[in-house]
Amino acid sequence: MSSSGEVDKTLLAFLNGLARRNFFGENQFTDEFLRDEVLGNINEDDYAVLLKRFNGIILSMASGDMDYTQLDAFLTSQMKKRQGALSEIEAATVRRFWKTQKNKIHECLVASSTWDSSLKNLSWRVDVQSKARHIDQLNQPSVIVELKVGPAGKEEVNDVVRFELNSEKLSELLSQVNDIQKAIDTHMQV
Amino acid sequence: MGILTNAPQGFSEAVSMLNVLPQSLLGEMCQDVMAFLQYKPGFINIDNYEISVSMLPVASGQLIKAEMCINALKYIFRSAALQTLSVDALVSELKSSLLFQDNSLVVLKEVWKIEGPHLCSLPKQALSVGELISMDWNLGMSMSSNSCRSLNSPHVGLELKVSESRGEIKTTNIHMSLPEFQNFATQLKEMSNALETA
Repeated sequence: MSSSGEVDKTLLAFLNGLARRNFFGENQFTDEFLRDEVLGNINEDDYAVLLKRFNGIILSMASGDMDYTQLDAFLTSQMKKRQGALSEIEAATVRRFWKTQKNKIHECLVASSTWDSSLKNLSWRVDVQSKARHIDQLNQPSVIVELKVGPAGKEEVNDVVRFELNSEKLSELLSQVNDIQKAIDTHMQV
Repeated sequence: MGILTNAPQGFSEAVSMLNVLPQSLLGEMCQDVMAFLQYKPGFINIDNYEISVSMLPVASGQLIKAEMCINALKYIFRSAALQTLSVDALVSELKSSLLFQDNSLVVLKEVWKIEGPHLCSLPKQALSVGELISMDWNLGMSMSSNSCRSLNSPHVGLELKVSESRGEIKTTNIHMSLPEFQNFATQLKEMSNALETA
């Protein structure tokens, strides 16, 4: 493999290709493509070894959502292995790869573990109330809200929910939002 | 189901006011209401109507409020459109309520005959929206999953129950990350500000 400067650009491209296939669902990064186009048509046995080694490394980092301290410890141990140890340049390349891809990979993993729909779009407008208990209220302004939801991690919209809020109902919602905020502040150190 | 069975309180009172209006004024109000319902944005100039109404010769003791008249008309035409009533069906329902005098019926019939089809052709969502019955929430932390040992992902879950025009209740579950929730909260506050200044 060619090397230039601190990192091995070919290896970096290979790692990015693996990430794109394993996490981002970009299926065009097949083994054939990676072995041939990215790695310059290395032989199949060498490819198999490379694939197993770096797939393993990437999966460990992703599963642990390693921070940089954990990463350094991990890479150090990988460099000390008796068989298939990482070289300095390889370790540097993996570090560079993780720096760019860590957050995006984690977001994908979170999305794939989310089974409820996520909110794709929220639109609203002020309108006049269409239903009321007393005829005097039929002119009161109200808000019409439209929520578009779809599977987490994808842009697809598979449902639209529409409803009307008068100022009373909206106040109730705001008060619940405050409760949620309090719960977040209490339970989570963000 | 009769369109008048769920009429808001004060409806009969409003109709008795309609009955007193000269046909030309009633016709004008109907036109404005139909336009309003078709193009949703915009408003009806209630103040002008209050002035016109205040200049009518009326029997002592009878107070006419233009706003109530307009609201009653909105209710009638919106309900008729939701059920896609024919002219005859509408007239027959209004007649059977015994609230409307003949001269009012004539005007309403004429307006519905001409403008009704346009209003009925609009998608129903333009005319009716659901009502939010409840919003339940939870705050959770996804610790780990089979694809990621250290997920550590906080999230807000919302369950919205909305009643739709036919009385069905639709439940929707939404999962939000904390930034998504903050954005949702901000939008609700903007709505509240908009309502106050509306």
